[in-house]
Amino acid sequence: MTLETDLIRLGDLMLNDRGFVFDPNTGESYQVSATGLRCLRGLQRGATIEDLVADLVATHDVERITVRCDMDAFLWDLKQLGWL
Amino acid sequence: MKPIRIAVSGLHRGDNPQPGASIAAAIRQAWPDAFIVGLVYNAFESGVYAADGPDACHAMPYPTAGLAAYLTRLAEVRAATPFDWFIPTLDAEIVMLADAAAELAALGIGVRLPDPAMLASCGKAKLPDLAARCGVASPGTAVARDVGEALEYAETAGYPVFLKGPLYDATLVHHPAALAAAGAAILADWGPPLLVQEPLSGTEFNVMGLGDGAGGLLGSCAVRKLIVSDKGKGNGSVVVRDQRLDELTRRLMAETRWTGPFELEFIRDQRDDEYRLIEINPRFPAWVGFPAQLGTNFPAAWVEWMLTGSSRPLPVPPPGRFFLRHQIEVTGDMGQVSALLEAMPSSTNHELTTHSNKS
Repeated sequence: MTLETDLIRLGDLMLNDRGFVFDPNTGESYQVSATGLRCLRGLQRGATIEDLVADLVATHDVERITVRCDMDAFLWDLKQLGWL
Repeated sequence: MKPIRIAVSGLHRGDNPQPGASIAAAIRQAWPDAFIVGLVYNAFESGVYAADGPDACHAMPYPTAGLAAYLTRLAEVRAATPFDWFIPTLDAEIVMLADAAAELAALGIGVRLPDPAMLASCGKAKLPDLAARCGVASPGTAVARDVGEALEYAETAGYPVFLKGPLYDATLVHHPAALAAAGAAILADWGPPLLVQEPLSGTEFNVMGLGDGAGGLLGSCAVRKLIVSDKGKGNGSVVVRDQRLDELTRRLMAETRWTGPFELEFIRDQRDDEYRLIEINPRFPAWVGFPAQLGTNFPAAWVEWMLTGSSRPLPVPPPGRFFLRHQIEVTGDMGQVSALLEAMPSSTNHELTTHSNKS
């Protein structure tokens, strides 16, 4: 039997300004970089992947293709944690 | 309104802590003038000597002395120090008293417990059946009448297995000789049956709550264990909010129409991320004081429910709040020990016994 529950996990995450992340569903806690925190908060606000990439390109001295690759790796990690 | 007078057992807070002292503190949090009577089995139960301990304490015979001896002593205690309600906190007390509602009422003692059938359905031996009825996963479990049967089951399932007693004790055994020794010890202490259970790997979660007896909940609190002692006790836990746990809890309460306090023990199995039900405890757990400090006072809600038949909805504790068990020393005097023991009935007092608490 499957459970019919909403798994809106990303929106549940509790973040602080120091990059401490608490997942209230699992009780696990994590540490993310300042960039990771910026992305998580963006995702919680409903930003698209393209929005996040554009934001990082605009605020960092880095090429778009590099940001896109790193973003894909980050999103993969989030999927593994069940947050996406 | 006259002050609440209520008896509580399970006052020890050592390395295998009991909930009574926290229940007393939580009741006083809601009713500062409540009069708490502590019922103890050992003069060295640490809660007796705590600064916020019971107003009066009396020694009790162990439930193994039998219901008649237990009730006789309860009546003596009530005559010496009147109380109207009793919250039993230990499994052996609850199993014995669940069937004695009429006798307790005749003594003028209010006790609200799940009925015997409900308790039986939640016992370790019946737990897999209950879980299946509720669509809740549970570890593979076989019920053995003796060591021989347990050996057969373990041989089929493959080692290691957990060997458990009907109420207490769980030992992980890796080979037949270890199973035979552990099985004999459990049978000697607790009697049959023996439970042979597959061991699970994963994170441990507990849910504490109050059932309203009609299939609903007066409140609940789910935690993930952060620190586990070598006895498997949660020495630190953090509040979580997982809709899957909430749903599993609701199903179990609806099926059992549970009355009163409970604790559900789950392991989130690392093989498939499923919650598997390990145990249902028909009482407040030792960590009951934690949510009370966050404003979710289960003992007070339960007392209110016993007094009035209803209680205000309990707030859900905020996820991310945690507790760490913090042991301190309490001090006493041997005169207190003597005073506690001298009123014990002779039927439960031996000519010479040690007063040491070996638990």
